[in-house]
Amino acid sequence: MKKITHRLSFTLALMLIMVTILSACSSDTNDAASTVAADGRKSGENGFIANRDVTGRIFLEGDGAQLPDDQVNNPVAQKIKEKTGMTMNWQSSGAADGLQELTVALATGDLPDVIEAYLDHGGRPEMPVLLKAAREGMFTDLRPYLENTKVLKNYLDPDFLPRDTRENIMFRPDFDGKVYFIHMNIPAKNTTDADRIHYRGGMWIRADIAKALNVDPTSIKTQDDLFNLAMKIKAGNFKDNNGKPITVIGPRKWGGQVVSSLFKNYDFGNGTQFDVQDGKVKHVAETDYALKSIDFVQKLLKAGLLDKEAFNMDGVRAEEAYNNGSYAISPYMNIAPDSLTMFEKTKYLPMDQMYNYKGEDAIYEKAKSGSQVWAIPATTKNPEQIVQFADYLASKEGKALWNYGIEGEDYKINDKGQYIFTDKVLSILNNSPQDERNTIPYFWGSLLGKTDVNNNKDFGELIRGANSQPDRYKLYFELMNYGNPKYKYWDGYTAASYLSEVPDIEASLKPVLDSYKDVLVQAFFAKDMTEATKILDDYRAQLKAAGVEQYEQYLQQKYDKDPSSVVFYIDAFF
Amino acid sequence: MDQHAVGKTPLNERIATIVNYILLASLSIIILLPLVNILALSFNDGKDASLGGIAFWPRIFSVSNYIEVFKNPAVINGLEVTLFRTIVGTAVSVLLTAMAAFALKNRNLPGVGIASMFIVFTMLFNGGIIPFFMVLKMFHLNNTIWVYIIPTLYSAWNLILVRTFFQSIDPSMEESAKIDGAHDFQVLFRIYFPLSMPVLSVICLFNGVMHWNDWFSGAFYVTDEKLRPLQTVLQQMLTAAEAMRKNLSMNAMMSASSTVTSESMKMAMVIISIVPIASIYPFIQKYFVQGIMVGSVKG
Amino acid sequence: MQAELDSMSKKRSKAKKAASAGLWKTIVANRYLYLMLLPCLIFFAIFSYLPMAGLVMAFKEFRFNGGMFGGPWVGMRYFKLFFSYPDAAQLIANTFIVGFLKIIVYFPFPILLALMLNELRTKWFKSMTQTISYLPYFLSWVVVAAFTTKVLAPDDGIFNQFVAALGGDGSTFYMMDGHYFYLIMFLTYVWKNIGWGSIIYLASMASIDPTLYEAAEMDGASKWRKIWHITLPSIRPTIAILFILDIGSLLTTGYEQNWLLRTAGNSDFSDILDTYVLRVGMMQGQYGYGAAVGLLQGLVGLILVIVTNYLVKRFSKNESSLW
Repeated sequence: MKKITHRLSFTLALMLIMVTILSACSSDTNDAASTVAADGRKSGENGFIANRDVTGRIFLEGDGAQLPDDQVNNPVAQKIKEKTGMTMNWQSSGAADGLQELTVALATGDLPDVIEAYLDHGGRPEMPVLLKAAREGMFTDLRPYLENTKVLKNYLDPDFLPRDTRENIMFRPDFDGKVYFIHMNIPAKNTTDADRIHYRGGMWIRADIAKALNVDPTSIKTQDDLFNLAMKIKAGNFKDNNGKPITVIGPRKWGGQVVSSLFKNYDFGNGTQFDVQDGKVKHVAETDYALKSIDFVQKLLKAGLLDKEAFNMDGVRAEEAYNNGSYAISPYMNIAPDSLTMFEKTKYLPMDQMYNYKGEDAIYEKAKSGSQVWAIPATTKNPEQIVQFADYLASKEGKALWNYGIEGEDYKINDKGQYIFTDKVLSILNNSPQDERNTIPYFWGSLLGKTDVNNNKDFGELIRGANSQPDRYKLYFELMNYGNPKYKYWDGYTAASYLSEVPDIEASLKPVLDSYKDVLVQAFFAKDMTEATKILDDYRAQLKAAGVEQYEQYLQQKYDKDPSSVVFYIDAFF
Repeated sequence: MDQHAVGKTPLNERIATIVNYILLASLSIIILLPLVNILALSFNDGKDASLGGIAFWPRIFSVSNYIEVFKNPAVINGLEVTLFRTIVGTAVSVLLTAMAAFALKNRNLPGVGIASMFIVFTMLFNGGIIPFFMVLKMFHLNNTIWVYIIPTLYSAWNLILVRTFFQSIDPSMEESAKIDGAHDFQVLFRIYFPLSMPVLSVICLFNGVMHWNDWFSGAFYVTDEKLRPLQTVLQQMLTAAEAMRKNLSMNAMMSASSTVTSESMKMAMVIISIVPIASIYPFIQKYFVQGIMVGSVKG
Repeated sequence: MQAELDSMSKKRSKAKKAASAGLWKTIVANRYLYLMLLPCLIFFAIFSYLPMAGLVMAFKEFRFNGGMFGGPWVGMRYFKLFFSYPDAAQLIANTFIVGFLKIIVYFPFPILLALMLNELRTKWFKSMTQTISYLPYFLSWVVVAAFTTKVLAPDDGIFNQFVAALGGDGSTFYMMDGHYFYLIMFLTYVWKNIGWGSIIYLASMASIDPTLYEAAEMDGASKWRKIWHITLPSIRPTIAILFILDIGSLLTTGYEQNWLLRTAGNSDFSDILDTYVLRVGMMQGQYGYGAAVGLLQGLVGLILVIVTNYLVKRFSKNESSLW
């Protein structure tokens, strides 16, 4: 007994030290991969790269749910392993905030072989963090490896990339020719408007209500039109699918955030907060538009037309509500292919042709889409193998695998060259769509493979599955082209992304700019317009103290020299 | 004493007594009402609950919210993580705290005075969350299960509590044991441990509750979802949409036959996270008073 | 004379030697005790003092590849930046207001509850009330925040239903309106802590010598006078100690509540230094700046504790203080 207590206590006493030391010496992974395939192919021979298990991390806010349950042993991944020798395992934490996760991962050096982050455009909040990491040598220069690729080589062609991607993300002048990020989802060369998917991001209305009130959604142009329509809907006493009375206007489909499409007549500086008024660069809070939009939202709230929780409701609840038709109008939703199920259940119509502050009823879209970036941390060995792997996934052969699965088994090619899903896949799509990812790991493959995109040319359809389920996708195309809107395309350096060029102003101004959304919400819920005006006045004083005028001057100089060098009005929904 | 006083009690004191009872009864009710409300919502059919109007009793009774919650792997995993850290963390922490307090009780031992100051000062000032986070990084603790256990092994407050209690134990027992040849570990485990059950149960409870309720480390120090404790899963479900989406099968919820909604599931989650603690603490209640009282005596 | 001095210094050095030999002996004799203490000291060195040293981060630019002590010096840049941040004054003010509410305003509530419970003569009622009132202490702030949001939800929250039933508006969104924030924060704080806080006063009242009350009764003292002249003075040391300890705990757990109850609408009131550090430091990765603000916040806390300790010492005539 004596010995036992003695020993036990001694062990416990040293536990803290032991564990700390042990965990500090955690082993290094990435052993050099063998470069001979099972069938004797060497690296570079007939598509073989190396026998290697690659680990990646995505910082994409919960999209990890779309990864296959087993990322290595599904048929498509096995087929890809046969060909290239590589397996790819993505980790995702489903955290609330991808940016926070990215920052923490960089700060703690918790980085696997390859990472992927959101970066719709160079004005995204992820950009400064990624730039800082790149400048501090956290990532590998990918430029040398791009030369030896087949698809990714296109990135070196100046005409392939949109201006924003080229100048702001990939081939930045301050990187001295080095390339740290590969921007994904770039359309292939020679794509036309027919190859473009329009997501119709903006306001939508429940189709049956529009019909019952005999309203043409495309005829809603002004805020007064919208308000009157909302009043009519309220008077109509509509119910949702559960029989509960509806609220007229709800949150964004993905939950609470301020969405400027709700007051589109006043959306000065959409997406960047800055724009030009009478030749002068201004922040939206310095114009009348800010107060007008607050006034409008207050009017909606006072009349009980807008859900009070619209600005902070969580996404799941919001999505449920839209599935149940609990709101007549959504300030913002779109037709991402996965929302087709919702539209089949409760049909909504785009009502996105209100005038913007410039008086145009056109819809703004990015000239060429880009969506995410991937990068290889400097600690990763043999980065060229990962670049080669990404290049394979982006090839037509690779794309076919993660878009359509195994030929014969999952799809067949008809005489028109169209890829048609087999009954096996169709039954999955119809009965348990959430299991599709285990047969066809679309999202998994898209992370490194979805670029140089031209689905019409490659697979004979704009959206995968459209030829296999023509009836279903009729609705999709109907919604996509509803009301034949006009489009305007933007490209280039956004007003928001210039901020990182003036670090002194950025440090003080950025937090103030970030708080604009919160300020708007406070003003929406202020007792009356007097209080709202005061809140806005305070905010203006804050902007001024934080150096907004210097930043405006900086933008003004750029703008006066070359108006195309700054993009003020973009499609981002704030 | 009270019996014969009743007749003489002035009117205003009698009224005060009645008011006192009424006030305390309403306090109990105010404390319980929100709980009962959430309980009712959690046992109500989700779709029906979304129509509003549920107060303290379910309108359409249903356990499907709970069934759906327990189908969710993140909840089960969170429960496992929480149980592990609560049991292991509490056990190790109580042992180590008792040992350190045992050493600290000897005020005359060289260095003990300085050690006490060293510990007490940490109650007054700390480096803040960011340097602390960097220390976790330095020792590669973040993203491991040990990040829950190691940084919470000791707390200055618990140390003082136990030390003060130890000091109140008659030292003559220790002396006579030592004359019989016992060394310090034996004295601690054979004499002090059995005598200190009240205070040890209290710090067990403190530690256990802290481990069970901690959502913060799981939210900020850990990114691996396999390491997320129940409270963090709950917190993210309550506040962050995307986490909820990942953790729930949206399709199952959206299907027409399902009566479960995200809101009703959250209510069930809340109840699940309360039940273990709420059912254990009344049994340890008698120790609180004794243990806490000791801590308030100046050490 | 010289010889005397010599022998004295010899004696002294001998005594020193003996003392140091004695010290070594003591240490060896108590080696197990030191062994028990060692992990504890290592723990505080790593998890409390190393972060304090890490506060140099507040004066350095953080580098992703540099860790806590890497990165070039930037002097007072982050402090200047913080004080030029337009919301800085508000953040500091909010921190003090929240502290004031939780320490000063909240403080008498548990004492009051203890006095009320102490007057109860029905045993089952007393123990039931006590058990119920302790319960919220064991719930996490996550759960309490969930309750609060649900109960105060516009329209279908139970509180708004109640207001509507009384003929009120019933659609107020309390969580979004900053003017309600302090009230909500304070009430939830009382709700959660009052029962637990009263335990110690109750225990302290239980240990009051009953003969004091009996003597007072002989003199015909009323209930009020007994409370005022016997109960309260007897628990004064407890009150003083708890007062200081409350402040200590405020620094470590005060922000959870604000973090979880924060919404865009009430952020002007709910943002305190702690939550600000979490947001800009932990979430946006401005570690140097975050550490600087954290340092300010730590200093504010330290000052609060020292001042309170001083005041308590003065008013309690030295009979109780933390050190």
